[in-house]
Amino acid sequence: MRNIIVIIKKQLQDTFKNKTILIQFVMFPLLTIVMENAVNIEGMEPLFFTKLFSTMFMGMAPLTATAGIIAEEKEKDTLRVLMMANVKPWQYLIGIATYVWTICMIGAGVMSTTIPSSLVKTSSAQISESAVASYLSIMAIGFVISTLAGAAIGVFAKNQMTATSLTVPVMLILSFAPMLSMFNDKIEKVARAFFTQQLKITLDEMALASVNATNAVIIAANAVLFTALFVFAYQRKGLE
Amino acid sequence: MEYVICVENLKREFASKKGLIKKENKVVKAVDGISFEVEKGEIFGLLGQNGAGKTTTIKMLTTLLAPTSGKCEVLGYKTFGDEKKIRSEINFIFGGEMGVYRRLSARDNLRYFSNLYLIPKKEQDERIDQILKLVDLADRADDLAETYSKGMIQRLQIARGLINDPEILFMDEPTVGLDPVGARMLRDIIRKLKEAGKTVLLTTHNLAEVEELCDHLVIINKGKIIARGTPQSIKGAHATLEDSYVELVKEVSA
Repeated sequence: MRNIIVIIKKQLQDTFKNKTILIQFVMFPLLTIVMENAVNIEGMEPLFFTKLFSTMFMGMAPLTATAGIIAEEKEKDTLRVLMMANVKPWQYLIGIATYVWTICMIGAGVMSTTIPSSLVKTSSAQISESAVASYLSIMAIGFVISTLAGAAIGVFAKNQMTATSLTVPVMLILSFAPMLSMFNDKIEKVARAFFTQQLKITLDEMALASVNATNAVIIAANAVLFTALFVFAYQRKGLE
Repeated sequence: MEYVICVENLKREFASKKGLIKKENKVVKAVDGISFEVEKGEIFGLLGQNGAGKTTTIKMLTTLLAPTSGKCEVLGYKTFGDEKKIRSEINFIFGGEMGVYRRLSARDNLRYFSNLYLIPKKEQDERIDQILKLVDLADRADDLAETYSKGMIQRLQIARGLINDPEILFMDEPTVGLDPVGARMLRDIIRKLKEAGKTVLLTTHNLAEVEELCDHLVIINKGKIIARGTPQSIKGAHATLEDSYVELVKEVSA
């Protein structure tokens, strides 16, 4: 446990100096606040930007951050030094995942400030007073799956270059498919297979209780898939 | 004589698959039955061409890689099975600008590893200051490592390698890419470590460095030891250790 805390503390210290990672964490919460406050078009669905950027945030930030951090440590041989310092691979991975997930949840917390505390009528449903809690729960689930995907890529990739070339297509699919689905039915049919699209549907309702069996099965299937990919990558490459 | 490293008939093979449809198994013998001992407090050289098996040997000695067969003991513990006991007593320094966090200062790097090595908080500051002084980084201790020169990063690596006060320090080409002044400074540090009673296992391609520093050495070629002894005994009648080394490798390859 001590090693995990030490790793998280070091990562926090590193966050403000690592601009490529920092921008991932800051960009979407900032964009959400700015757009929700600056753009007000008549007829536009309430919380349009919050929902849109939340989906992109969950598909992008944890994935790229986790993959980038692990791949950088492998490339710079610091991971080997950590193993020499008796840090177990699982301690390292839990430390990194916890750090990424926590920072993303802080970002989600910032984004949730756009959700009004009073009841709001949306096109599809009524946002209840527990909307913030539901919103954060939905984001938490998304961050876990996205972090798993990032860990799978980070462990599989030999260096940052490989990690980036694997991360970019996955990230584009996971984060942009839900947005493009709003404009194209064919894309929407394909995007249904991804957890980000399923969580976007849930975000539209802003209620965790709105998750139906189909949503749940697809989200769980995504979680299982990325866990399996992570286990496969770890067995093939380890943390060397 | 007290040996801190005992290697006997150590082997490491790597299996790889070749071919897209009809897969063929290929076994590469990276280390092929080597044996040697390292005495406490000496500087021991592990020489060989690129791909000779030096890094694989070091990885096995530092518990990062399991041997295929043979005896591999460090400080009386088996490198595969007693990893935890060994790791707190050794450390590993790479060549080049690896093994340190460049977005952290030298002090923060050392504090991070102090915490991982469970060094009590009240001892940390004193130890970090001492080590930074030893590697001549005290006046730049709070600057980010990314602002350091190659030589400074290499010295920071040594500082990182000393943070747990290891019995044995493994150095894989520590002076690679350094200018003569930086390399000299590093050699002086290695000598100081020997004076402090540390054992150093060194791999390098700089044979003048080996002649200057090492008490004993082995030369590895294609995973096998082709020569062992003191630099003087291996040099024999040749003008330099380099001449002797080149001839040995040529003889074996012929």
